[in-house]
Amino acid sequence: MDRNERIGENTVNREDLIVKICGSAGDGSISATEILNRAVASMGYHIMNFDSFPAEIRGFGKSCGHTRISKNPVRTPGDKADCLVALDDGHSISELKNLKSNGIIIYDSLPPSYRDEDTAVAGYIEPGMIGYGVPLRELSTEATRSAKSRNLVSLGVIATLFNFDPDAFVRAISKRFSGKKESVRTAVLEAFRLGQIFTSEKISKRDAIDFERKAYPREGEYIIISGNESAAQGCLDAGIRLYAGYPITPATKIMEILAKKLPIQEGVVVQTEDEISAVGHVLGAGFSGTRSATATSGPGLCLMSECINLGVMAEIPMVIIDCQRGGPSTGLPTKTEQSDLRIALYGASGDSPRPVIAPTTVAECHSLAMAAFEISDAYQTPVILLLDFFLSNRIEDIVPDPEGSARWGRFPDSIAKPGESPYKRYRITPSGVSPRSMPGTPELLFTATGLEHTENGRPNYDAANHKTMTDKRYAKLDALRNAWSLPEPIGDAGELDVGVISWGSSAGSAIEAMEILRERGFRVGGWIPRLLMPLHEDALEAFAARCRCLVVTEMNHSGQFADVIERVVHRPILRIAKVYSEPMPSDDIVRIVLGELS
Amino acid sequence: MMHDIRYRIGAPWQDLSGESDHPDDIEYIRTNIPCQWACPAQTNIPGYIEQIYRRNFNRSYGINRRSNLFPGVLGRICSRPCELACRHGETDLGEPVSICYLKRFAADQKTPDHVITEDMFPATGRSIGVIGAGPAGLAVAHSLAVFGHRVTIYEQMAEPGGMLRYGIPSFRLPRDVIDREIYNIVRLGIAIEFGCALGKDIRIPDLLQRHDAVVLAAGCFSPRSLAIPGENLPGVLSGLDFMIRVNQGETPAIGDRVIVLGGGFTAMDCARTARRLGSKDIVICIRNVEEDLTVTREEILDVKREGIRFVSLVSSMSIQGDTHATGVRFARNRFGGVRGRSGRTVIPIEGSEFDLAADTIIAAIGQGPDTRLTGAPDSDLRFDPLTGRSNIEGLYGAGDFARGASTVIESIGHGRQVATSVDGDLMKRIRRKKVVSFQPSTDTHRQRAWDFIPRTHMPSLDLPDRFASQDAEVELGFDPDLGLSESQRCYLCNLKYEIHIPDCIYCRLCVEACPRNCIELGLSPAQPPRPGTWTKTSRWNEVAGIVIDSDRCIRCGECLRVCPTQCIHVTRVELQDRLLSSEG
Amino acid sequence: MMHEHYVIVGNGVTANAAADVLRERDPNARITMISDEFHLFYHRFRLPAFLLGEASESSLCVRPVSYYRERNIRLRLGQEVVRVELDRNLLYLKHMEKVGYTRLLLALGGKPHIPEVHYTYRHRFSTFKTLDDARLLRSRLGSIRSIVIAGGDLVSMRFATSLAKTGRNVMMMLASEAFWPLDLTETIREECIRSLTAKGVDVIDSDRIVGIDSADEQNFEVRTAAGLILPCQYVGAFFGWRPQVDFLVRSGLDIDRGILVDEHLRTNFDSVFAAGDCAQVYNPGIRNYWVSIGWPNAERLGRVAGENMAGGALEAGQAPQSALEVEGIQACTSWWREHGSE
Repeated sequence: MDRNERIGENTVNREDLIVKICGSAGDGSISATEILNRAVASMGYHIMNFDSFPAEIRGFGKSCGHTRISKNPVRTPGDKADCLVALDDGHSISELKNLKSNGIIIYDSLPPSYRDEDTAVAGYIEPGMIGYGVPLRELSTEATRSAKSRNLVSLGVIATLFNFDPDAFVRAISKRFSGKKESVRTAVLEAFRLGQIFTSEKISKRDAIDFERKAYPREGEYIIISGNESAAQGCLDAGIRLYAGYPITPATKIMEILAKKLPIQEGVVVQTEDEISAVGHVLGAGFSGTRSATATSGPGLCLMSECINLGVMAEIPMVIIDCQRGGPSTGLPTKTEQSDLRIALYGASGDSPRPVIAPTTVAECHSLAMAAFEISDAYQTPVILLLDFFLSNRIEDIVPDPEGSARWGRFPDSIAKPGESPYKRYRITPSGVSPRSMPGTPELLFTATGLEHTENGRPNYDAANHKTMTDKRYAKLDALRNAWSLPEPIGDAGELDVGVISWGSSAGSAIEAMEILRERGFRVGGWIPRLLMPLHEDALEAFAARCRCLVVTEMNHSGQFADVIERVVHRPILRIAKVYSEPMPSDDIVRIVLGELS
Repeated sequence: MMHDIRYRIGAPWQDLSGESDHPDDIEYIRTNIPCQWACPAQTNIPGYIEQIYRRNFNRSYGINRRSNLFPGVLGRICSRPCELACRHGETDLGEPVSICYLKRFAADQKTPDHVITEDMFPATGRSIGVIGAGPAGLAVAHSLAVFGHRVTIYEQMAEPGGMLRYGIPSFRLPRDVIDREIYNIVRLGIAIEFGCALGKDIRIPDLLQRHDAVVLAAGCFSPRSLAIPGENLPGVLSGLDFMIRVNQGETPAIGDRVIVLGGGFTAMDCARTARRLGSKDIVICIRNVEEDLTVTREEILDVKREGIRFVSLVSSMSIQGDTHATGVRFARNRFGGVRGRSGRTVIPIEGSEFDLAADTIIAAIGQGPDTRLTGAPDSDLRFDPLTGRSNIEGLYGAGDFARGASTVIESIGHGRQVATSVDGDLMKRIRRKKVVSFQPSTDTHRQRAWDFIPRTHMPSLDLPDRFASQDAEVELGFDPDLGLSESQRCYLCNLKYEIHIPDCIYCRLCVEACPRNCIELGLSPAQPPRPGTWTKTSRWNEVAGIVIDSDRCIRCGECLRVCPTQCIHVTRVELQDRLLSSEG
Repeated sequence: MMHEHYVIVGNGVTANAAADVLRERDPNARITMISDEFHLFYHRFRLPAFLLGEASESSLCVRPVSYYRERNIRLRLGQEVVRVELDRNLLYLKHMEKVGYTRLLLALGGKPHIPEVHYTYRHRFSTFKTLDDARLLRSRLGSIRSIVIAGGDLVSMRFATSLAKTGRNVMMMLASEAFWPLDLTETIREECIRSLTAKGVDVIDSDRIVGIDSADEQNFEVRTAAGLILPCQYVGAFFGWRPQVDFLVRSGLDIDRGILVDEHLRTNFDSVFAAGDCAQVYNPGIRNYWVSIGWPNAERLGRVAGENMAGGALEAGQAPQSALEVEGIQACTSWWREHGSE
């Protein structure tokens, strides 16, 4: 009733709910969130799950599942939660700042003894918030003889309180515990049921969130995966044979997945002694014609820049996935940031062109990872795929696209044929792509070097040759730009009050902000390129020309993408460049844009 | 086989059954079975309640009767010191178990063919006289009869029961209940001579000649005086006299407006009896506040339901009227004394006097023993409060007469105690004593959900039906469903939960499942011996054992159910009377 | 240095007045207000207007949340004190949290009282004291045609006449005990009846309720001693309020009907004060204990309590004339109206 009347952070659309389940490690908040995701996704809802980790290593201290459930595709995890389930009071208190001012707190009403002042989360319920006390521990013990099923009791509360179809939860729980004994399955379902019963009998609902047990049909299959899982699957589907890497948050998960799955495809995962070695492995594999990849984060990318440069110079296919995190240096391993753009685009000695691709969703992590390999092979170049902590770790329901790479055919002239004489590994072509041979192929022998070289690969320091070869390497970017489909502007056609440009993981926030601005009566459009190097400058200029106010949103301090845009459009830009460490709040974009427009 | 349960922690389990009279074991009962210890007759309360939820009503009645003789009576009118002590009524645990009403429930539900058995001693040939057939006298007589002595009771009234029959109204205690339970006592061969008023028809020296011992259990029938001007005016009655008259069948004319002075059960009985005699405007005037009254909250509610009002914080200053009382002059009281918890004395406020009009004023402010009856000057006759022995050999005192006005259950408890000392003195050895027994118990059959059952309220007669006759019993008793669910509320504190440390794998499951934080990590579980005083630690590398704090433990059984190694053992620990029939 | 922590139990006019004074006197102290109601401090006297749709819910609110934030007063709403340990300066809240204080003010207000003679059918009475009560009744109002009002305390007069104005059949059964701490004198009684009848209320005098029957808990039949059977859809209990002191029983606090306080509003515990509807003080003028009623009184007493908690020694004084003028019907029926027209 009141909820929809409010504006700003308290806006609650119907069938859009953000739930946080917060506890200590071992309380099962993450697994409860996973079950919640599966249950609501099976009803046709879209989800985005982005758990928050402690700054330290996962597995100790606080663990908090954060999921957004919506009838419409979810673009951001949302800023503040509608509902906080407190499996641990202490940790939940520190999470209260992420709860809406009219949020709901579900807390344990019957702990074994009184808590000291200000250590009970229920004591922090501010006017306007709603608290529901549930004897989580008692009900858990009753059902499973253990306090460890409080998370499942709380799912029973959520399902009943917000009126979801309980059968979907029962199926999700049964599936989750399918490997366990019958008695365990019965007990955990009982925990869920006791939560349901308590809620329907003892809680008088005071909030207005009601999903009315609705379900929506979905087209085709869907899976629930994270960005890292999606990217790893992209590597597998692209047919890599080698993954070499050195663990670093938030990229490690990719290696973990590949370590399990790559051997099945007769591939190899090598954990190297450092990032230089890792990228060296990838370079070597690429040189010898084997698809391979590495994934790292900012600090690793710095170390890899030397070998990437060699790949550019020697025109060796290789794919580097950079899962960005807060920097510089070791920075903030568990916080999200988009501040590696500049090193990805330009981080090299000399003129070092390399394609840079930034997926914006979990689904794109898969399709663009596959594209990265195709591009890398087709244009014989290192390719950098830019993820970040948020994109790597967020979980979405996606429709898998095994055909993701179909449109990327190899250039016909890219493979050398025996008999071509003399064989010129770096022959000048209109596309800049030269015929490639596998090292050691008789009649197609060549020299590959980091020194500037001639068409046949021999070192050469002649000024004219250097110009020709530099042009050749840059020509490949032009060819790629032409081959890549144009980034279509989204939103309104024609003249725009606001044009929003964004990239990577924060694109969702930009799109959500656009939707809010449109509801406020503005004409709004957006331009979100996935291919950041080379940029479609003509398309950008055309879009910019339609906009009264041009906004670039990104999660870094210096406006790294805005610099790129500005160089093309030559006009003032409203830069929304901030290091939030958390996913960008769309409300913030709206607020800043409204301030600019007024 | 005597054991000290304190030092048995860690001992092989099969050694654990037996009996003990070690002071530490008695102490364990005091702190761990608070209801039984609070009961002056030391009724085995968890024992009889457990029999109720196992639906053995006859056995439940039997356990009761063994200690208190009058389950049916006490189940209605007991002052319930046990309920004040009940662990379920401790802070944050809810309300006490309705122990008293469950006693009545067992009495109501027992089958007609139930046979009471008594462990009789062979006849000794000794003869004992008991003066007074009230609760104390009957309790003394019963025990002495069991011990094999020949007992004669001398009673001044026409029927036995004393205060039960003459002091308590029949709407609270039906007469057939009294008759039945007194019959079950007297049938052991006890003779009662009615119409024998002490000091008139019988004299103590004669009785001492006639019997080997004489027990004075003449009760307290001497009303305390108001000590204010006008108290002797017609229209001013003593509460006890009023009750005796009504209970003898009179219907005194008391008018429409009645003021009752006093706040005990007798005051409530007088007010409610006046209501049944037709008075319209009845006020109970108390010196302090309702919270301070010794009567139960249920009683206060029932009094109010009958339309009787309370006026609190007033002191009566004088009775008004010339030839007949017309009202009372009161002063308002304030609380005085020390600030804080202990300051409850009332002080009349100067200049606060006001008058209340009434046709009858009933002073129910207590009574004392009439010591003139003994023929001895007041200072001459003294009784030992425990054994009942007096300074005259062979003469004992029991119940209210010896100790001042108290309750029925205290009189019974004291009567049994005095009987033991009379028997000991006559036979020159102890033939009945308290022991602690313990036996292993496999399952408690309790469920955690039972801890959340709210206290059951006594169903009662609708208001119009209450006033249809003097005798209509107000409290209807629990029906089987109510009684059984109320019996499930009992924690069964007589069960002791212990972790057998050699079997414990320190998995902590019990600690997590425990709803009251009563399972703790101990530095040294066996010492010092008092429960709850072991040194706690939170560091795992220091833990010598996981221990259950019996004081905090609510016997919910959750630990037992989660324990993967079955290292938690349950012992039934009970305080019992042990009859020692032969030497040794 | 340890700052004072003033805890105020209650969020009515007395509690808020005391909080204001405490903040003025002690800018650094912690101040916490605890109330079991979820709503912000609201005007109770506007509830009848809210009931009839003449006032919006937001117009009932006296102070916004920001008022408390600006003054650094912590509001714990919807949190219930279930137990106290006054000699350890501890409060125990229902959600299992202990809260300490250095000075405590009990400004609990009262809850509607249903006389024990109606015990058997007490659940069939509705009460009208809180915003939640008003919300509930407002949602049901469409289906209510006849109303029986039992008692006849100060609140009920306005309630009855308001509903009578809407054309509903309002029957009122006066009960003398409802008027505590005032006495229902003959004069007041006659004036009440005259005034209510003139406003369309059907006053049933010299009779009393002996039972309430209901088949569906929506429609009721009220049975009276004189044999009347009154069909209705709402039976309102207006027998006055009793202080909500259940959680203080056996705390050592001197309690009669209300919490006994001295002229400085201090209880028998030095650090504990009580004021407003829950505080009972001896009044020499009427030779009786008195519980102060009415908004202006409550506000004044709240300020006195605040001053004294902060170290002052103000006397509460006698209840002001307006509340003591019980002989004039004005004081009796106008308590709410008086403030509402201010």
